[in-house]
Amino acid sequence: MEHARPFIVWFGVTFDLSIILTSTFAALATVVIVLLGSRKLTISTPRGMQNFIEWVIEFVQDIMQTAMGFTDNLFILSTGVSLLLYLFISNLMGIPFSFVANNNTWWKSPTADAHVTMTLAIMIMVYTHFIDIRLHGFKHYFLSFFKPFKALFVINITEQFCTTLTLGLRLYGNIYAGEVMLELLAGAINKGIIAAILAAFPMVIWQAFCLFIGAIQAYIFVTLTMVYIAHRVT
Amino acid sequence: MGDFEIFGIPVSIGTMIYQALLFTVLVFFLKKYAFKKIINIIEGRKQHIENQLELSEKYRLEAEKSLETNNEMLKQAKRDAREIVKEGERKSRIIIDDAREEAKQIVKEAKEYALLTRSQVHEKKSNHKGG
Repeated sequence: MEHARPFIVWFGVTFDLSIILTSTFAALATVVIVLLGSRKLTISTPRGMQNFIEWVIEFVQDIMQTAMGFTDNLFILSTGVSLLLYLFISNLMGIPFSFVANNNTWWKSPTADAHVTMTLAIMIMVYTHFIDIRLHGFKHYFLSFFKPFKALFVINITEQFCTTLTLGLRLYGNIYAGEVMLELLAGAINKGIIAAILAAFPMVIWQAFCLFIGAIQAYIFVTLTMVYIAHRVT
Repeated sequence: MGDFEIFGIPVSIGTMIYQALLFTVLVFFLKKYAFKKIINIIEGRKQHIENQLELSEKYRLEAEKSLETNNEMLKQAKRDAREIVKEGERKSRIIIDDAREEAKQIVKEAKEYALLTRSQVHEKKSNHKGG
């Protein structure tokens, strides 16, 4: 059931080639979609892709507005929009098919691997700490671990690790579970024609559900990112 | 296979480094080449619409004011017209009355003249008879 990964060692560290392939594809797809949307910008009625990109941006601006009360920080907005598109595309990549060669998985959702989601979660948590230090100074940041009183220091530290873990593993778990289920259903093709026909219908339903989960999880990830940043900003 | 293990889970640090670089580049690239422009366009449109709304409000007020003056003018014109008609009627009545009076006078004069002429004729006749 569980296939190996195409690992390679460069400069003493291991790289997972399949994740490099799929995540690069997702990033390029995001870039292509956004550049298509910003190619012929018009100030009058937006059409086609520009309309879509503006809708996505306004969607993220709405999330920002509810979480932190302002939308004029271009970096946070860019992070939110990039995250939303990148994660949504990543979550969908494993739904139509997965590709296995020589018992190595080459094509699946990059977000079905904890490396990707945990890296994003760690980056976001590091950014929240960074922005707190930059906005309020190191002293305020340091003292915030002793609030509301000193005894909670351990809990505050634990909280930071837990939010990072839950942020990353929630996305990973949802997408990974969806792909395991898809793989099981697709495996029915080897068990004879009747099993394949019986599995075809739930397969389609589960793919639709995976689409839904992919959209919801991307939305949740962006919303939580905004909430965590808002905790530190305000 | 991985560089090290956390609670038995293999971690390949290279994948994570690549992922971090990829996403950082993605965010900064899109921010610089796309989102800045799109946000400017959205802000510009917002400004444009606000200006248009302000302008339309101004025009609405102006239109209301000019409509009011127009109504006032119309009312004044109607009042003037009524007065002129009334004045005209009064004058025409006077003229008609004068004319009637004059006509009566003329008729009266004509009757008197006729009477006079007739009596003169009568007198001549009687003179003729007697002669």
